[in-house]
Amino acid sequence: MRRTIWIVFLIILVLISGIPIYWTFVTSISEDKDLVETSSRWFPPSPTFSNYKEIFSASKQFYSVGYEFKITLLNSSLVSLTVTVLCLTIASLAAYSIERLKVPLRKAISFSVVLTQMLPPVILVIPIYLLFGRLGLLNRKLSLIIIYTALNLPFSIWILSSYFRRLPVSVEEAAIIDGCGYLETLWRIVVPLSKPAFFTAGIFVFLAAWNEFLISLVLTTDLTAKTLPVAIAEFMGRYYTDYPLMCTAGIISMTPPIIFASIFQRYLVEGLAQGAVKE
Amino acid sequence: MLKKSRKREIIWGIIFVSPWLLGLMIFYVYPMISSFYYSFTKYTVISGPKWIGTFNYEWLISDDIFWKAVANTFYFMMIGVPITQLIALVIAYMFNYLKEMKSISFLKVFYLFPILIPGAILAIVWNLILNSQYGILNSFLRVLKINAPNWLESVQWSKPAIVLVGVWYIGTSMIIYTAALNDIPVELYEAANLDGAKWWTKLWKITVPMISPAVLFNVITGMISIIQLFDLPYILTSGGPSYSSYTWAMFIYDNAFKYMKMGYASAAAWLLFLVTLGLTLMIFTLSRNKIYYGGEG
Repeated sequence: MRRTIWIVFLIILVLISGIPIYWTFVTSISEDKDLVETSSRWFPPSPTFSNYKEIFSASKQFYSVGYEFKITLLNSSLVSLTVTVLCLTIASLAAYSIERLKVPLRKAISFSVVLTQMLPPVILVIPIYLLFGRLGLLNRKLSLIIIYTALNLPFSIWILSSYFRRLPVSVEEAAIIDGCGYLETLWRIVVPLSKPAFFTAGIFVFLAAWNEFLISLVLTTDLTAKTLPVAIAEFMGRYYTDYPLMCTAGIISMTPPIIFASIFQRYLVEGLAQGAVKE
Repeated sequence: MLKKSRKREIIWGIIFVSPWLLGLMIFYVYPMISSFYYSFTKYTVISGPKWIGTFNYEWLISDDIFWKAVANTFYFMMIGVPITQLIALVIAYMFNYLKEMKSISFLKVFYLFPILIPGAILAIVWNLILNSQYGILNSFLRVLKINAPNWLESVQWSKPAIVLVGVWYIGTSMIIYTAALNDIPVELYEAANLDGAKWWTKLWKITVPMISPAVLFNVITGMISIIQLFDLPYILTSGGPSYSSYTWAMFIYDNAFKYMKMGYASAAAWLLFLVTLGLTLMIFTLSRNKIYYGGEG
């Protein structure tokens, strides 16, 4: 009996926690004029997917907000995916160096990895902005990629090296004695054995890059590099707010994280349980 | 004299770790040092940094808006963090109680959604939900005959509104709590049952002490993330009305990128860093005293 009450209670709480996402979806399929009715009925009187079509089929000839969302969506995807690949590559090299090659000063290096995770981006952003400004690198996708990679390296190195540490060294040693280079040993033996750690780190890096707001807001000014969250937020401030279109962009921006999270739930929970997510 | 193979190992080790060292220098060490220097300068981007000593810090101390931003930030830390943690703990407790049911523990992923999607987007949806005229929250409150406040447009309610939205970010803490609850040895409860202990005795004497390290860890990391709170108030209220939801991070952002007062903003940023450092040191001391917070760590 008590069990049933708790289950019902938990389900109600899950439903409540789902309201914001449900609301984004409902608004995205409403027509602008129906918004008031949608909010009283919790569902649009005449659902339509025209906003989704508008964003995906938007073209350059007719400049529109839909087009802006489409381009920034592409920017976000390109930046996040590149950052994930780059970050995991550099992090695995560094973690391998710290754990296996016993690089000099490795204690200090791994301490730097822990310490840098604590630095708030809001402090780093001013000097980084000034530096990139001086170098003429503002408003570029490449700059965002480099900065996001650097800011996500500590977490990735940390996850990977704590995993590498637990792997048995015997296979690697045999490979080295057989004349395998370090790079080859890392790629052929260590990486395949550490898939879970790569998934965990990869998800968090992707999410961090996909969701990042402050740095993108500061460093990007137009469609060359602007990311989706910033485009949506800026759209909000304009004199007329097309909520359905904005929520459509919102739903599109939520989809990759939610899909990844559902597929890789195990790795996600593992990463979170290690108490190491930067929000 | 080093052996040849060790020498080779060192050389490759240095090559492998050098991208990180480069990143460390450019994106952490250099920014921290230069922002410390800027905090003692007048720096408007156009003119370049000019040394003015501790003037920025003195000015901050007498800046009412800065104090307002700091006070609001502490409000979010002191009110928001406990509320969020308590709710996370209760939900984790329920999940733990029902842990044999696979279908139930799958529901956990729903609590993670808010922390997975862009905060900026969540803020926009909340703007819609909290809208005083046609937002669903107020239409719901009106049904219950509760006097609905103008959440985002009132000095009195803008902070509670942001705390309310913050409750949606319980995911991380909840996962850490479920791990901690799961790690409590069953024998402790069995022994207590043999002694005929009541459930609240077990809660108070076993559960609470066993998970207290996780609580401390979550509270401090929660405070560290709240102290940097930016996207939510920036999008929901732009810090208003009349600075009632203005945060420390927004103060830094506005001074640096709106008013181009880089030196002044750097001083405010360094003070924020010092508070963060204090909180971080607390975590380090706690974890040195054999704090256990589930899994590796």
